[in-house]
Amino acid sequence: MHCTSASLLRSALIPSASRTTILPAAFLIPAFTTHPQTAPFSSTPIAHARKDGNRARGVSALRHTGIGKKQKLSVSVKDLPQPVRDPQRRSKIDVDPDHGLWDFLPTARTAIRTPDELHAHGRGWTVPELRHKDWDDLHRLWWVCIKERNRLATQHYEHERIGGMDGGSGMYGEHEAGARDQEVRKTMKGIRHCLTERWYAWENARVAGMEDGEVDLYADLERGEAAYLPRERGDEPVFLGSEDDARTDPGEGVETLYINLYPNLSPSKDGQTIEVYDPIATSITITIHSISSKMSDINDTLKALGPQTATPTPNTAFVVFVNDDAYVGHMAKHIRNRMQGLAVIAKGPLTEGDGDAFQIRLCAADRKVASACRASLRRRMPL
Amino acid sequence: MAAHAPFKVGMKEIYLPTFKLVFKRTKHLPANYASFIVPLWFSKLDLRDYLYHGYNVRVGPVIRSYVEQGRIRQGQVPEPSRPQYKRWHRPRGTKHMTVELERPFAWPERPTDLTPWNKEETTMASEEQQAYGEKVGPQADQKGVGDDRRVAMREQAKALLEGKEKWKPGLSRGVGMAFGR
Repeated sequence: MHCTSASLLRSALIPSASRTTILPAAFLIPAFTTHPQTAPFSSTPIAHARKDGNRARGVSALRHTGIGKKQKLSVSVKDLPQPVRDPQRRSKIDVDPDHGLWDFLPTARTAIRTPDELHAHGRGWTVPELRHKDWDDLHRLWWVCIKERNRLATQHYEHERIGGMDGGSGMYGEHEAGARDQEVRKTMKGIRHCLTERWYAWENARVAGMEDGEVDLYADLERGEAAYLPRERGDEPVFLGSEDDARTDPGEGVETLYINLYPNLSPSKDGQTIEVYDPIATSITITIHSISSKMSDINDTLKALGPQTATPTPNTAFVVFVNDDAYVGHMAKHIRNRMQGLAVIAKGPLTEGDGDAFQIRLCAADRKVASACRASLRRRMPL
Repeated sequence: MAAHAPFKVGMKEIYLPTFKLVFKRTKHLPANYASFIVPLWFSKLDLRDYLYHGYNVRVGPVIRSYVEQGRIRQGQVPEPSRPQYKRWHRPRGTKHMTVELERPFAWPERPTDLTPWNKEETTMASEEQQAYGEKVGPQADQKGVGDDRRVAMREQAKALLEGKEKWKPGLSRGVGMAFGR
């Protein structure tokens, strides 16, 4: 217990007999008997309550308090219009036949579609079909798909409200709506695919145009500026081969072609000229200059040829007969180093004989000439 | 469509949107009000613009919106074949917007005959499924007897007490063995 209250209670509960009543002095008695005029007053200003101008105090529509005592409405309570509770008696609303919100509902203007109505659809647009369409058509088709999806979403919500949520099974129609939605999504995916393809083609063309020196992308066509400015092409050789030529034909122009010559060409006939004529290319002359396989003989022959070897005509072949395979490659290289043009190393018996066949191996320094020679020699099989 | 929108149109143009809008049926609202379920990131200005440019629907000055919070539930989305427990989560909320239409629109009546949707059969099937599930499921011992059997037993007991029927013993061939439950 609090000390002050304890002390008070103690004094009240425990009657102290020791306390004696003290009577006032006799000269003070008139103070108690005669009562003077008193006027109680307070110097504190009294706070007057302001008039509450709010007539609607305590009135709440949410709390259903009703109208206040001092409230005056423009309409008296008895004149208030009563709502029509019965839905059957309510007035019909004329909906505009071309109201925009009809697009959210089925075409037949019912609340929801039946499963048969939902099932009546075709397949979505394929990408090859959409590729023919321009941007405006694709954009319109996209919005047709969007509106159909909105319609299907509205259908799904209303379906659930009507009774499609009976512990899972509900009413029919959800499966058909899902299949319909899937076809719409396929179309939208195709549209996006086409537009992406077009964008990449445009971007690649733009980058190629930027990188190409002959194209001016900033040309103003209306003013007559040309967008394509071809450069003068002089005597640049047109390389019609592909980049794979180096891969398939390695090495520097070593063309080997084995040709069987008829025995009318005998090795003993030195200086004999065979004409291998190619109707398109220039004629190729194969001149037999040496029949020996010795290096010294070959060198002598080459020296003897002299100026001819220095600048031979490109279609001249020097036939060197060897009888040893091992020398062939070495010979070819040697002759090639010494001469320009064709070096033909024929392999075969060095002795003359009937029915001998010779093989000519072509070592060409120039690939072009070699292929021309090969082509012409092939055409003329019986030489 | 009118050439000029009755409100200030924004600068950002969206040509290929991917979202869906749901038009709700609101019987409690007057005919000049319409309510939609919109994407969660949608704003009132977006809805006004969408309805005008997509559907040529003009709306009044005030659009009201609220977000309905998802109910906490178990399981996964999409739902697997077996019921899953303890994966408690709150799915994403939905945003609803109510607009005031300039021209009123009333929904067509709901179909009374639900035969095209096979409602009768599906309801029957789901009820039977539920009854079967109660009979053999984990709560079978609590349910004990089905509702229809219970009602039948009550009628039988009533008839016996009133004296309309007389009790007879069951089949004499050891049926008592089966009465274990």
